[in-house]
This record gives sequence, structure tokens and C-alpha cells, in this order.
Amino acid sequence: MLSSPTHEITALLQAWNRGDEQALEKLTPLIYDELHRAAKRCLSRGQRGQTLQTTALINELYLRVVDMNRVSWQNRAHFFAICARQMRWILTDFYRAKQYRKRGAGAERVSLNESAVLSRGVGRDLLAIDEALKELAAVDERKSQVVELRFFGGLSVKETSEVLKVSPDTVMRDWKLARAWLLSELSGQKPDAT
Amino acid sequence: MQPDRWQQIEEIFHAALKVEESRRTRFLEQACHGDQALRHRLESLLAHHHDKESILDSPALELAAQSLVSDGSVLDESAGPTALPTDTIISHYRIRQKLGGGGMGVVYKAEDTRLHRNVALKFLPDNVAHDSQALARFRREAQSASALNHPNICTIYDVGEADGKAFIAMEFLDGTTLKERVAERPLETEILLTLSIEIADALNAAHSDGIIHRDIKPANLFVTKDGRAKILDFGLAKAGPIFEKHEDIAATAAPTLTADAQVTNPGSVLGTLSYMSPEQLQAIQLDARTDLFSFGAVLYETATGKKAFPGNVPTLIQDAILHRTPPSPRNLNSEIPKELERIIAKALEKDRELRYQTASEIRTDLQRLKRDLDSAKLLTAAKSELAGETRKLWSLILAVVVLALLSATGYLYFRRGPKLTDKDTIVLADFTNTTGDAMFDDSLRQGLAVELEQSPFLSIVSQDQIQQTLHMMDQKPDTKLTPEVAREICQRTASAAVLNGSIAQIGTQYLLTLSAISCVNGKSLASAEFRASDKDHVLDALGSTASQIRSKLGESLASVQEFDTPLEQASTPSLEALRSFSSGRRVLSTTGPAAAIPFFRHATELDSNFALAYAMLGRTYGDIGESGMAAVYTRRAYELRDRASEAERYFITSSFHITVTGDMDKAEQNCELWIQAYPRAELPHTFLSGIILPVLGEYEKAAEEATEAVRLNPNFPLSYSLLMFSYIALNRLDKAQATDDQAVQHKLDSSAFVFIPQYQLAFLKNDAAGMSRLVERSAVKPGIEDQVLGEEAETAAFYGRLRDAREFSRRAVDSAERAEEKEPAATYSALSGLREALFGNAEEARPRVASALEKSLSRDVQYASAVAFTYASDNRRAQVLEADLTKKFPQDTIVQFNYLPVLRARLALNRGNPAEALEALRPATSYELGATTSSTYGWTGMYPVFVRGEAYLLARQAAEAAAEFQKILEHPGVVVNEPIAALAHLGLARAYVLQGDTAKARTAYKDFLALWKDADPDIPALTQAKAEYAKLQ
Repeated sequence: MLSSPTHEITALLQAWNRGDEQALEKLTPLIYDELHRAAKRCLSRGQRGQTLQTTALINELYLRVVDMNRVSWQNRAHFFAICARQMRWILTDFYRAKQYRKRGAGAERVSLNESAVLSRGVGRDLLAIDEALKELAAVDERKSQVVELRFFGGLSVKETSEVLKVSPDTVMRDWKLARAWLLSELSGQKPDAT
Repeated sequence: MQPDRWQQIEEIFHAALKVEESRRTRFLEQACHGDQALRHRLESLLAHHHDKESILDSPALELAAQSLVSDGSVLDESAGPTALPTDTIISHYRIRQKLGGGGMGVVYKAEDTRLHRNVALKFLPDNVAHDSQALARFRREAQSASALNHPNICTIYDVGEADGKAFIAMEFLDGTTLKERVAERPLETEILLTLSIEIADALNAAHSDGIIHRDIKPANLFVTKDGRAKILDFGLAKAGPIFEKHEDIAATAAPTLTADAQVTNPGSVLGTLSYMSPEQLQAIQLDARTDLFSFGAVLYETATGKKAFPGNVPTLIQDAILHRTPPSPRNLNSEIPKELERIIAKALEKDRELRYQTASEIRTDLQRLKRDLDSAKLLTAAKSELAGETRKLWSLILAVVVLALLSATGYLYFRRGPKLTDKDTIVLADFTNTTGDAMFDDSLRQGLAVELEQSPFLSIVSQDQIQQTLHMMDQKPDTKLTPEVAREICQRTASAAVLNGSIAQIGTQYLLTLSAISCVNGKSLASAEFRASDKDHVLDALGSTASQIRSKLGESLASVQEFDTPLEQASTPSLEALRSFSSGRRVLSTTGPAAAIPFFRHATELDSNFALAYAMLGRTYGDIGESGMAAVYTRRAYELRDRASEAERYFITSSFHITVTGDMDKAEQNCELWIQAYPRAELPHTFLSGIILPVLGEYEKAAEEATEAVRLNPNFPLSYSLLMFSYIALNRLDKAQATDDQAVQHKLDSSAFVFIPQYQLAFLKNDAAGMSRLVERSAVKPGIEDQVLGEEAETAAFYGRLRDAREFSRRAVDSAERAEEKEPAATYSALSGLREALFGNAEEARPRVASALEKSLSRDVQYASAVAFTYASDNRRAQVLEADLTKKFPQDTIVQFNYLPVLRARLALNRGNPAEALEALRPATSYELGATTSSTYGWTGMYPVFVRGEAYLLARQAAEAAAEFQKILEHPGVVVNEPIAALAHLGLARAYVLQGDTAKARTAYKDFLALWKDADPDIPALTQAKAEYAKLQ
């Protein structure tokens, strides 16, 4: 049966689709809550060594929280886009909180350079990618979106192309360059090209 | 980084990737024009491009999950540095796995290395461990609690300290807490009683030893996998630090916030507060009766699914506990026995002197209630023991034995005949699912529907009818069909009974129950239950339960046995697939075919042998005009038809003949057999009246079948729509109007199905306002807007307003494309081209037809395009399409008896050979009045007649030609607003000219010119007609 946030999320997605930007503001925390719960479940499942897939998780969430009767395909793309963004926040918030604890309450935020001095690991890398993506978004918004959708949202090339309304080839081109650029940023070698 | 710099990097990067690796250095040298920084940058990018298995190549969440395996934390703010890695040794315990815990203490599964048994190791929060007084109190309490030895109390083995951490080792339990079990859903009375008797017994034992729990709440009550209750954290309550934020509460009275045992749900102040007794809040010296109050609050919540003292602010909760009586449990859950309500009320007495005085008192009351309920259930209990985990053959034999036994006892007990007759219908309520597993929510009801639809005896109120009735009840379409709602639907649809189902989990087993309740007097007609050994056997058990209830409701044993394909053979062994399928059915009736497609498709992905899901996928694609996709999936369903029940097989076979082979004779035969086997099924009547009979031109019979479909289910909009089409084809506009009024009465006029016949009716009545109203109303209905626009285009063309027609066609194409309906888009484009060609605009016709063929190569699009090519004198292209149709549809009634004769005749006419044309049209004679599309509206009806008229004209057989065109004008309900309906006047005029009957010819020309008085002046057909008319003057 449909749960109560369903109607709200569906209505907000529709409103957003009609161009109501405020709807997005209301939508985001709702999806965040749902996704956070789902991710948490997923991570504890992961601990028992089961495989998990971000898209499966988001699909499941989508089926659960969105009233499919009332949303169009475009809403679905929007939904995936929001989920990818939220997943990025959830994971980076999580690792950021861990870093605070390690470094004491005084720490404000972890920047790319700061995180480099922290212990290596997935958490550090995710935070670094998050920061680098912000930098990338400033010069090339779409490439940062491609990474967000694929890496944080777990979307396939085809799904990404549907969300961004560009061809799969364009997504692949964007992905190749963004990936190489991020890896080069992560590796710490940053020959200055600016 | 500057954007232009970035762009430069991007260009060179992609260019470099195309260059062989060995030559890249040179390439970069040239491309960077000596800009060293740029070159380094690109070298680095290209090097990283070749990184294999980088962090970016797995989704972030998976990386996070994997990395957390190693440090043992979960995505929870409170978890973190304190987590212990696997295999850490604490005292003599080896840590195995973290089980959960929030900020108030962490629990691990660990191995006792001395005794080699699993234990749950709970560490106290640091603030307790560091408070020496609290720690001492904790030890004292824990030690006395460890003396407790009762099967329903989680045993404390050991209390210890290591590395400055205080911990307790206790019995390791597998299962869930009551908090998770209940989570907003009441437990079934029987399970509730079993568990609460055990809890009362455990409380009694502890109280006898002078130990009070002080913190009885759902999170502290555990249900093990084998269905036993266990009280957690006995005696630990006193040890915890008091509510730091609620200092008004005395230390001795405070329950612990650490008592969150073996699960992950972090405890909270509010969670505990809701179950505290009034004396706890008032900081009075506590005795055992405090636990009985808390137990009462737990019972209340378990029975109703709602907290007795809810609230999100401490003061509100406290006020409720001290001063308010919670609402009557039976108002929240009518299934609760009166006696249980009394027991709960007595436990919740605010004055402890009026409350149960001991746990044994409440246990006795609970036990007495259980005994009374059990003896009432004696009959069914006996047989559920028999059922169990036997294999299919055995369960069949046993079912027969049990059914025989039951009908014998039934006779002795009730001395009355069958409960229902084959004239009655029943309503399926939603299953009451207390397992907490959402998988069972929709799927069981759907599974039961599949089971029961096999029965020629029982007739289930359809999903459409339920939606319609909910609509009349002013309820939302997705309203849960609780027993009450179902009963109202039952009464409103004049059905006989409601079938209520439930599923509960008992340990690892599942208990399925079905009960049929008369909606007239609310009395139970029959009930059945079955136990499934595990989740994989739930569908099996459902089948057995359904067979039982069929027989108990009066169906003959022979019939039950004959029509009883087990669910997992009949439909699917996958609960998930069944669930998606049932969502699709629901969406189909609430929203429409387009929205339902993803669900049916998902069902086929989950079970690639799910015949009925393919069939529904085929049908829904057919409904939105995608005949190509419809054929693919219907064929697949047909291949898998052996995996369907008898009733499903009729559906699949009919669909196959309609959608795939197009053999309407076979489809008709199959529908007749279907009606014989299932006289109360409405679908075969729908197929007959909507598709098969119209194609055969038998509109009288179609009207009869549609009338029968309406009678069988007066709430299904499609049937009204089909009846309207039949009457329209028969030119009985008054009857069509009356049918429309009937639909309005049933509040069905907003359904998309009735839009097109309503439009055609308005057209035939010359009701321009009526047509515009429909255009407006359809604008908000995706999936129907394009059809109405398509009709508007035809109407404009009928009056010669060709520019308007083009615009409407364009909008229809756009609308269909927006709705992602390719084939309808192609159809509108093809019809638009056909119109241009018929009116003499060959140049305008070609691009439209070309665009249609790019979008779709379906049967109907190919045909319309081919006809257009013949009118545009492009025989070569028309022949290619004709040959393809001949090859692809050898059995298709429409293609063989309508499309191909028309095309071959048109080709012969273009070659100037009318005799050959007339010969080619001979096969079309029997079905020439028939509709020509497998959807519900005919759009190229009577072309054989029109082309025959043209052939006679060319052969200079004037009288014969006139008769053909006259035939078209006599059947306005078949041609409606098709362009040939207007051009028939012109054909008739020419026939009269040929005959030398100038007067009649003049009238016919005038009729045509009157029709086209507002026509665009530059249409070749018009200028030619005017010239011919002028010559007559």
C-alpha cells in the first residue's frame, strides 16, 4: 500500500515539473529522509557481504514513495536526478561527520587539501571527489552532473542521457574527460593548467 | 580554471584519444603549440584515462558499503569510533558482528570462548561506565537479574568489565522486537494472546523473585524466530542514569535509556516515556504493579497498532498517562474480542489499587480468553494440522479428505445447503498483513483473484467495478479495501459476500486465513486456513486455502478439481512478479493502459515465464495503439499458454488470434468456447463486441454482446463505449445516446473509453458544440487527446477544410509522441497523407506518408500509406507495401478480406484495368461493411465499396457505380467523418453524369459543394468538381 509521503512526493514532483521551484525545496528533504533510511538499510546489508546496487535501491525507493499512477516519465528522470544529488549529500555528510569526530568539534569543513592529510580510504576519496566536483561544476556544469548521476546515482549511460536529455555518446564523452580529470585531481598531481 | 581553457583541454583530449597511443606524444606536441602547462595537464588526463578499476568505476554507495564492512560501522551518526572490529577479544568473548545500538550502548554478537556458545554482548554507554555509583548499582541489579531463569526472559550470563568498558553478556536471540513487529500494524488476536501469556508468565516469575522490570515496552520485548516471547534487559532499568533532561523524575523510578538490546533502533526518551506508569511519573515508590501498567500499554499497542499514550512532547505524554483514558481499542480494530478490551482497560487503571494486582491474574484472564477462542476454532484447527508441509500430491489427497470431512461435519452442524449460488458475486478485501513484509500486501489478493477466477462457480467483482464503486463512495481509487470498505462495496454492488484474507508469521511459518462474510448480515459463511512452512510456500498455501474456500462456499468438488491449476503453475512462482503484476492491474483500472505497462513489464522481468503478464502487456500495448509491441508480447504469452489456468488460456488464445494472426474466425470460435466454460466472464463479450464482430461487419450481434457485457458488469466503461459504437454503426443514434446517458448515470462518462463514440455521435448529430466540448475535455487526458485531435482532423477534412485538418493532424502526432505512443503518431501522419492523396495533393501526401513509415511499419500504417501511394500514382511504393502485407499476414481477416483487395484494385485502376480491379475486390464482398482496425474504432471502413465505385466508373458501368457510392451514403455510422464519406457524393454525381441523369447529377454535385462550402479553395478535388458542375449548367 502507498505510504503517506507518497502523495506528497508525487504532488511535489508534479509541481516541480510544472516549473514550481519551491516544490524542489520541499521535495528534497522528503527524498533525503527516505533515501537515508534506504541507504542505511542497504549499508547494513552490505556489511553482511551481500551485493547491492544503487539503482536497485533508488528504483525500489521510487516504486515505494512515488504514486506511479500520477507521474509521467519526466518525473521519473527528475526523481533519479534528485536521488543522485541526495546520495551524494548522504555519503559526504556521513564521512564528513566521521572526520569531525576524529578531528574534534572545532573542524568546520573538509576541503580537498585538508582531506588529503586525513587517512586514505573511501571516505577521503569520496569527500575529495565531492569537492572536486564543485570545482568542475563551476566551469562545466553538465560534466559534474554526469558524474553525480553515474557515480553517486548509479545510473547507466543510457539513463544518464535520458535525465540530461543529451545523447549517450555525449554522456560517454563527458564521462571520459570528467573521470580522467577527477582521477588526476585525486592522485594529488595537479600540474597547474589554469 | 577558465572555461575557454577547459574547452581547449576537452577538444585536445578527445582528439588525442582517437590517435594511436604510440603517436600521442607527437600529437600533443603539435596540438599544444608549446604551451607546456597545457601539455602536462593533458598527459596527466590521458594517463588517468587508462586507469583500470578506479574508485569512479563503482557506484559510490557500493564503495561505501564495502569499506564499512571493514570498520564495522553503519550509516548512523552515533556509530563510529567505538565500533569494535571482528575477532577482537574482550575478556573471554570474541566479537563476531555488530548487531546494533545507538548512542546509548552497542550490542555485538560474540562467541564465549570458554563455553563455545553465542552470546549477545552489550556495552554500557561511557557515561554509565564512568559513573562509579551508577556502575555499582548496575552490577547489583544485573547480578540479581542473572539469577532469573525463565524460558521467556532473556538470560543474563555474565556482567564484566574490560578496558574500562562495562558489559553484560546475555543469551543470544534471533528474531525481532515487538516494536518492529507491531510498527503501526496490530497483531492478530491469536498471536497476540500466545505472546502475551508468555510475557505475563515471565513477569510473574520475576515478580515472585522480587525483581521489577520498570521498563516494559515493545523495544524490550523480543519475538524469536520460532515465535516465543522473551523479555529483554530485566532488572537493568534501575542501573541507568536518570533522564538527564527530566530531572523531576526520581532516580529510583527511572527506566533506562540503554535498554535497547539487540536491535538497531536507537532508544529515545519519548519511546520509553509512553509506557511509564502514573506512579513512575509521580516518583512514588514502585512495586511490581508498575510493570503491569506498562504491559497494559504494550497490549493496547499490539492489539490496535496505535500507542495508548501517544505524543511528541514529554508533557503531553505525561498528561495523557496521568489523566486520560485511551480510545476504546475495538474502535481502532474491530477484530479485538470484547474480553481483551476489558483486560487491557484493567491493566491500564491509573490507580494501581484498581489494576491487576499480580501478573498471574492477568495471565489467567488472557489464558481463559485464548481457550474460549480456540474452542471456537476447533474445526479449522484440526485440519490445519493435517495440512502443513506435505507435497502437492499429498496436499491434494488430504484436501479431498479434509473437504469430505468438512462437508460431512458441515452438514451435521448446520444442516443447510451451499452457502452461495452461481448467481452470486463476491468482493475480495485486501489481505490483513501482520508479517511486516510488504511483499504480501498486494500480491496475495491478486494471487487469490487468479485462483478464484478459475472457478466457473464464483464470480469476483472486478477491479474496474471496485474502482467505480469507490468513486461513488467518494473514496480515493487507492483506498485500502479493509473488511469494512469491502463490505460496503459488497452491499453497493449487490454482491453476496466479502472474502477477507490475512497472513501472519508464526516463527518461520506463515499462517494464511480466508473467511467469507455475508455482507447482508455480517455472518461468517465459511473460513479456511493453511500454514506455509516458509515464504517460498506461501503461494502454495494460498492455492490450497482458495480451493478449500471454493468448496465450502458451495462449489461442487468436481468443479473445484477440474478448474484448479496451482497458482505457481497457473501464474508465477514469484511473489515479487505477482506483486508487480497486481500493481499493474490496479494501475490499469485507476489510471489507464500506458501507466500500467511498466508494471507488467517488470513482472515479466522478474519471471520470464509469466504468461498472463505477457498477455496483459500485449493487451495494454494494443490499447494504446502499439500493435507491433502488442503482437510481440501476445505471441510470447501464447507460447507460454500451458503455464496458465483454464480461464487465462481462453484470454491468451483470443488475444493471440486478434492481435497476432488477425484470424477473426478463430478468435470468434475461441470466445464462444470461453463463454460456454465461464458464462459469467465479461471479457469474451468485450472481445466479440469490440473487435471481432465489427471486423466481420456484424454490428447487430456486436450490440448484443456489448449489452451482455454491460449486464455482467454495469461499471465497466469500455462496455458502454462498445455498445455506443455498435449502435452508431447501425445508425441508431437514439440508442447510442441512451447508452451514453446510462454511462453518465453510472458516473462513467469521464472515462477515456467513451470519448470517441461520444465524439462520433456528436458529429453524426451535427452537434458542433458537443464536439468542441469533447476537444476541451480531452486536452487534459494524455492518451486520449491525440485520438480526439485525430477525429477533429478527419472532421475538418470531411468539410474540405484541409489546412485545419493538417494542423489537427500535426497536433495529434505531437500529442501521441509526447505520450510516447509511436504507432498512433505514425497512424495520424499516414491518414493525413492519405487524405492529401485522395484530394489530389500528391506532393503534400508523400512527406506525410514517408514520416509515418519512419515511425512505424505496423500493419495499419503500412496499409494507409500504401493506399495513399496508389492515390498519389506511386504504384512502385504501393506494391512493395502490398507484397509485405501479403507475406506477413496470411491469416489476418482484415488484411486478406479488406486491405489487400483494396490495394490490388487500386493498383489495377492505376494501370487502367477496371475488370481486374473488380475481380480483386471480390473477396472483400462479405466483410465490406466491417471495421478495419483491431482497436475499438474503425478508420478506413468501406474502402472496398468506394474503390469498387471507382472501378465501375472507369468501366463506365454507371448504375453499378452509383449503387456503390449510394451504399456509403447509406452507412454514415460506419464511415462517420472519413474523407470518402464526403467524396462519395462526388462519385455519385459522376455516376449520374455517366448515366445521363443531369438532374440527379446536379443535386449530387450541389450536395458535395454544400458540404465543402467553407473548404480551402485550392484543393484539386474541389476545383475539378466545380469545373464538372459548371459544365452541367
